[in-house]
Amino acid sequence: MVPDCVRLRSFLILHFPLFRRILLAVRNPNPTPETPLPTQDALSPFKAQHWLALTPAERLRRSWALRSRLPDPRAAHDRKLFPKP
Amino acid sequence: MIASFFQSLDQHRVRYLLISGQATVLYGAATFSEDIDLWLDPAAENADRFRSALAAAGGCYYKLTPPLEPAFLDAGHGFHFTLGNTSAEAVFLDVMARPPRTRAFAAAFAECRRFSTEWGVLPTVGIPDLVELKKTQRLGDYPIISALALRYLEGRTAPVSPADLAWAVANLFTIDALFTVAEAFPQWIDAAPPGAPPSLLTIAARPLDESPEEVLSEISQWLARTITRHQVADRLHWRGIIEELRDLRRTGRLMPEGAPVA
Repeated sequence: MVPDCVRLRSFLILHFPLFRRILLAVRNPNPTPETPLPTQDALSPFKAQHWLALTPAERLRRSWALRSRLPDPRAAHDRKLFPKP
Repeated sequence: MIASFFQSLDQHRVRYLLISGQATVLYGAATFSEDIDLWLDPAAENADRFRSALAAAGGCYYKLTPPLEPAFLDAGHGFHFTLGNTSAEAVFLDVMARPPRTRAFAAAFAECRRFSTEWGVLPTVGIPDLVELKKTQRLGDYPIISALALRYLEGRTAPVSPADLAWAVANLFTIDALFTVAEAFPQWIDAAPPGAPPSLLTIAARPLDESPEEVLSEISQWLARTITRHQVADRLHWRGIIEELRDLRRTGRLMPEGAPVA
């Protein structure tokens, strides 16, 4: 049985996008930083909201920059695409 | 180099969608992918334009790639290429015209999202299609699918419908993601996935920390079984295609690795 107060909150979440966004922001334990974090910090699982706070273009830029840290991108690609039985 | 490749696609009027790893990064559901995956409109003239665009960008054939011909495009094969002049700077490009579990290209293209990036404006497959694409044999894809489902709900500008909720819940494969939705949207119990254990219905509006161990255990096992079902379905999907690839290799009909696309 779902309590009435929970049903009311859910009704507001379902039907009012602004309320949904405010609620998600309140639930977010890591507020959006004024200046973007370094990539290493933004990638921390404890700071997942920072990764989401970046623009899609910035996420792509940082993600691709990480590729240079791979010792062997070819091996990483082949392992994923052509797995050995 | 990558920007000029995408520029070449635009100049040649290639119809494509960015899919898989880089799409999940753009949506914020993943943090890294080492290659670029495209879904190509399977129309023969589009494949010809793609070949021209790739040739202009200096692309080369990579491993296990059949000819870019309608029969192989329609059969669901993957086509693998490299971009870049040296082995050290090679970028891997994987292309499909009929990716597994997807609908018609035109329908997916109509609902794509265009992201402005330093590679250009990238038409990117929408989240529901991306979720289907990611139901692979790789276990690591399932937390990403769960994150995509959460991004989908967060990003809805219209009221979240029961259908939205049912879709999202059917695509949550981690306990944390499931509880996040169950806590925020207790109405999802009205559209619980078929075959869900009865204990799943007890978690609505209840925080993860307050749920009994046996409930968590039962839900974890159910999630694992669901993932396994998707993994097996993906394996069966690829079985015939891999068999055909073996035949192409045996008969010397694969494109030679390293040859420039012409």
